[in-house]
Amino acid sequence: MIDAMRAVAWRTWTTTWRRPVLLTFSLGQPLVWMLFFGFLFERFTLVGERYLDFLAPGVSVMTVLFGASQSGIGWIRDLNTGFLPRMLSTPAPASAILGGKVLADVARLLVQSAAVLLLALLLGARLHPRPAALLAGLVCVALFAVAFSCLSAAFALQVRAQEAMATFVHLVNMPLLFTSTALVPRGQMPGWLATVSRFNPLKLTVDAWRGALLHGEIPALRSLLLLTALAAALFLYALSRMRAASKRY
Amino acid sequence: MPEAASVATVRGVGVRFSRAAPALAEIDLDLQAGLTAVVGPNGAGKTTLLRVLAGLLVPDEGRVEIPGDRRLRGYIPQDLALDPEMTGRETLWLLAALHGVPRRERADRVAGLAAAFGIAAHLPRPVAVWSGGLKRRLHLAAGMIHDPDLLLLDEPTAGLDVERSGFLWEELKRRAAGGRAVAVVTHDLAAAERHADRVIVLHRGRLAASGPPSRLADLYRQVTGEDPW
Repeated sequence: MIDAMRAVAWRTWTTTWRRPVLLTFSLGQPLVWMLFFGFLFERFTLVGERYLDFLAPGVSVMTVLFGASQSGIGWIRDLNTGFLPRMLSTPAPASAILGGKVLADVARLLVQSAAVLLLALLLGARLHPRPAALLAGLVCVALFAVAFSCLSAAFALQVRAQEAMATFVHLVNMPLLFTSTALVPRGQMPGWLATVSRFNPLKLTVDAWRGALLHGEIPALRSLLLLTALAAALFLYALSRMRAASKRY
Repeated sequence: MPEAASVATVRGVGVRFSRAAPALAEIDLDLQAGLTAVVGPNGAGKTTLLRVLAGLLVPDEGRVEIPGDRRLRGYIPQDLALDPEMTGRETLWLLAALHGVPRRERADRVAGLAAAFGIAAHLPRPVAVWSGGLKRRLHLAAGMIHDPDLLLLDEPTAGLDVERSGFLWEELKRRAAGGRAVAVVTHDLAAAERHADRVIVLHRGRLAASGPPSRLADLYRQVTGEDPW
């Protein structure tokens, strides 16, 4: 199981690095947001925080959201080339094949997320993390990455068309982004939007990550548990879609 | 002479993809060690039977019994199933890992198969730049990386030149002679007659006839009403 997972993770990494276009696009967009929003709202102060400091963790998690939505493209390729059914015809558990791919995707997303924070620091953002809080916050971001990589995989395996992934971005990512606290604090939102944001997992992750990076706060156990449950549920859902798609092949 | 033990036992198997005629119906089959050729016209159910034996398709009726470790079953589909962005070596290593080949044996397996299929020099290059024939050879080698006891191949010689096609049949015979069961779906009836130990003829989803390869022409004509050659 571990050996199969490691082999799939390694394969995902090597093929990802051979396609720098994908990496560039999924990292480029958040970097642009960071630059433009950072400069545009540089003079804003939000309840004692500079906007750039506030923005950095938000765009960092946003990078994960947009990067995770690209995960599905790899699954469609594997389905269309027949390589996914081939992998599933081996005795390796399907969960190891999905787990290996998700593991590699999450590692990539965390690196990209860190690159965004580095740019923020270069722009002058001030972060005050503490090791324990940083670690717990990172776990929250990783769980969010697992959840949305799996959601993207499940959607991709359902629709089986690369073009449809653009729809995924517009239908899922945009509403999640604009009903979250990634760019705007909850106190500045209209009442109804603030209510909606309470149920948004992106908001949950951004708040946990922001608390850890700006104030050294360890995320609430409730946040960790909710994100764990979401990641587990979406992993199982993606697993079921993977098996179903392979049978239809 | 006592009959050899079955590597796979199929009883009353039926598969239906739609309300139309079944893809397979009432299949009873004992697959034994040796080389079995599965022949029949297009749409006879040959690929479906192979997918059922490989465990990729659960039949709607009947049962399939294949004792032993599932790791020792191998299915090589007709359509190439390769990732063009991986190199040949990465492909063989990944499939060896997924088949549970011990780490210390992988290098030897990869080297042995690459040499046998004449692809060793191409292993470091991405599959996307390989020729069609080379891809076909890699596809076949990848299906044998775990040295399966039950090997199922769907039209394995499609896209191979005469020399490689002859080599493949010899390789399959060598494996079959070593006590393994090898089932090959083929439209090359002359090759089936020349190389197989046993032939089964499928027609309209049913196992219409089976027997020694020397009777292939008679069996095929009897079942399909067509001249096989």
